[in-house]
Amino acid sequence: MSIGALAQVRWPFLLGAFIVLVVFSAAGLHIVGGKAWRERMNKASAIAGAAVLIIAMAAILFFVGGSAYQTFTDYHVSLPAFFFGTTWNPDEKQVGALIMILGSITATVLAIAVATPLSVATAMYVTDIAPTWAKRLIQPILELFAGIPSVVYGFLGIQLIVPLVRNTYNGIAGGFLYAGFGVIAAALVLTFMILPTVTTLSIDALNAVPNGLREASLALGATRWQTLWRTLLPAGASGIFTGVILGMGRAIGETLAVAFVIGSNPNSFPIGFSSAYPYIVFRPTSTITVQLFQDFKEAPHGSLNYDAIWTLAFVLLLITLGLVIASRWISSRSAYRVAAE
Amino acid sequence: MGSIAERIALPKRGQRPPGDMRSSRRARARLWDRVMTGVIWGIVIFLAALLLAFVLYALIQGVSMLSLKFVFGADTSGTLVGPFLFNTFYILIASLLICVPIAVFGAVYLVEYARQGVITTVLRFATETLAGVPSIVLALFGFLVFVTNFGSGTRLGFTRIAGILTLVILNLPLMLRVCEDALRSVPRELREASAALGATKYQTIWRVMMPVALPALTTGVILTAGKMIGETAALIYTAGGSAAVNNWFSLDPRLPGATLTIYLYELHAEGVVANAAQIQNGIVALLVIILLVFNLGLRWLAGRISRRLAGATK
Repeated sequence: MSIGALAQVRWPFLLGAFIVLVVFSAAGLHIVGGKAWRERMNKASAIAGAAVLIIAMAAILFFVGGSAYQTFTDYHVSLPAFFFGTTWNPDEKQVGALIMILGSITATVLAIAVATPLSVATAMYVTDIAPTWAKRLIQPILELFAGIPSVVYGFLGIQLIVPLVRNTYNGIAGGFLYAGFGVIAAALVLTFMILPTVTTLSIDALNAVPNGLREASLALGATRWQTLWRTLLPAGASGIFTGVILGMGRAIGETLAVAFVIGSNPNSFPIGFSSAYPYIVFRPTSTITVQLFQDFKEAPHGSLNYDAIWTLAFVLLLITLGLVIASRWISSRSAYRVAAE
Repeated sequence: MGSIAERIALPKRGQRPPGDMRSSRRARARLWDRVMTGVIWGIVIFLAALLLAFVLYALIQGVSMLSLKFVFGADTSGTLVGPFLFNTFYILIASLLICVPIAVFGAVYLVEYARQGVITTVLRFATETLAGVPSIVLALFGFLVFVTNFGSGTRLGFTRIAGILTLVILNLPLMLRVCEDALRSVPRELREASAALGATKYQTIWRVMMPVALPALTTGVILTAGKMIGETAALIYTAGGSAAVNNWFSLDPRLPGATLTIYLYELHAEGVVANAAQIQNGIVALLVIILLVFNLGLRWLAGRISRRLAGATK
C-alpha cells in the first residue's frame, strides 16, 4: 500500500496520531517549558478549541453541499421537477420532493402554532406569577422535558397520540376513516419536543426586560395581566420570536419522533379536501428528515436515490441555516438584549 | 349658566359619573387579570401533569421487564439489552472525553482571549449554525466522512469510533455554550483580584476561574450528557444498527455500537425479535430511569462534590 493510498483510507488514524502528538508535545512543553511556554500553550490550545468548531461547520457545509448538486448535473433532473414534483420514486427516475417539503413545513408550523402560546404562558408564569417553590420546580421539569430521547417521544406518540388523533377524527367524522398517522400526530409530538426550547428562550426574553418597565406599568395602575400583555410581551417580543424560530429549527430537523408517527408516504399530500363531511382529510405523508432517514440505508452510492437524498439534506441544511440567520437578525434588533452576548 | 361645580357635574360619593366608564373598566380589568392568571396556572399545571403522565406511563408499562438479566445480560437473540446499554455509555463517555476539553478550550478563548471582531463573529456564527444542523444531516456527514471513504468503500465502517466522532461534532456547540456560560458566571472581581495579585492569565484561568466555574460546568455537562444518551438519528448511520456479536462488552472502538435508542428504533422498524413490544417497553422505562438519574440524581451529587471542591475559593 502506497503512502498516498494509506493517507486516503487511513486519514482519521493519521489525524488522530497527529492530534496525540500535538497534545503530548504541548503537555511536555507545558511541564518542562516554564512560565512563558505555559502562557503560549494556553493561548494556542484555546485557539485550537475554537478552531475545531469553525472547521467542523465549514466541513459540513463543504461536504454536504459538495454532494448535493449531482442530482441536477449527473442525472439532469431539472430544478422545478425536483422542488415541485409530487412523485418520489427514485427507481423510476422521479425525484419530486414537494410533498416532503410541504410535510416538513406543515408539521413545523402546526407544532409552533400550538407550542408558542403554551410556552409564552409558561414563561409569563415563571417570571411574574409563580410562587418561589413553583419557580424552583419548573427548571428541572423543563430540563426533563428536553432530555427525553426523541425515540421515546416517538414511542409515546405511537401509543398515545396516534390513537388520540384517530379517535378524535373518526369521532367527528362518525366512522373509521383515518388511522391517525400523519401530520397532526407529528405536529403534536413536535409540540412537546420544542416546548422546552421555546419556553426557556421566552423566559430569558421576559427576564431581560428591565424591571423599571414592569414597575412603571404597575405604578400607572395596570393590573398584572395588563402589564404582562401590554408592556412585557411587546418589550420581550423579539426575544420570544428568536425562541420561536429556534424552535422551528428543532422541529424541522427532528427525525426519529416524526418517523414513528408520520406514516412515511412520500407520495401523498399531508392535508386534502373532500366534498363529503368532514371535508378535510389527513393522510399519512412524509417529511424531509423522515425520507432521508428511511431511504438512506437502501440507496447505493452512485445512484439517483443517493444523490437525491444528498440534495434533500442540503435543502434541509439551508432551511435551518436560514432560520438561524433569521433568529440572529431578530435578536440583533431587540431593544432589550438577553445577557449572553 | 350655573356655577363651575354644576357645569362639570362632579359625581356624588358612590355615584358613577355619567358617561365615565372608568370604574367599570377597572372592574373588568381586574376580572380579566384574575381570569388570565387562572388560565396561565391551568396551562402550567396541565403541562406539568402531562409530563408526569408521560414519565409514569413509560415507567409503569415497562418496569416489569426490568431485571438484572434484562438490563445487563447479553444474548444473540436480542432479548437482553446489556450490550446496547454498554454501547450507550461507551459512546457517551468517549465523546464527552473528546468534547469537553475542546469546549473548555474554546470557551476559554471566547471569554479570555478573543476580542470583539471578525474571528469572534465567525466563531459565534459557526456555533449557532452548527447547533442548528439537524442530527440526520450530521449523520449523513458522519457517514460520508467517517464511515465511508466519501460515500464509497470503507474508512472506519459502522463503528463506535465513527459514532463517537459524529456525536462530538453534534454536541460541541451546546457544550461550548455551557462552558462559556459557566466561565462568564465567575464574578469579575475575582478575575481582577487575581490579576492585581500579579497572576498570569494562565494562573487566573486555571486556578481562580475554573474552580469557581466548576459547579455550573458540571451541571451543564451532565445535562448535555443526558441529551447525548437520547441521540439516535446521528448514530444509526455511523455507529451502526447492531451490537458486536459475542464481543458484547469489548472496549474495542472498531466494533459496531448500536445504542439503546437505536435498538428501540430497530425493534419498532424490524420487530423480528420475539416479544419485541415488551422489550421496547422495557427499553423505554430504562431510558426514562437513566434520564431521571442524570437529571436529578447526578446533578445533586455533582452539586455537592463541586461545592466541596470549590469551597476553598468561595
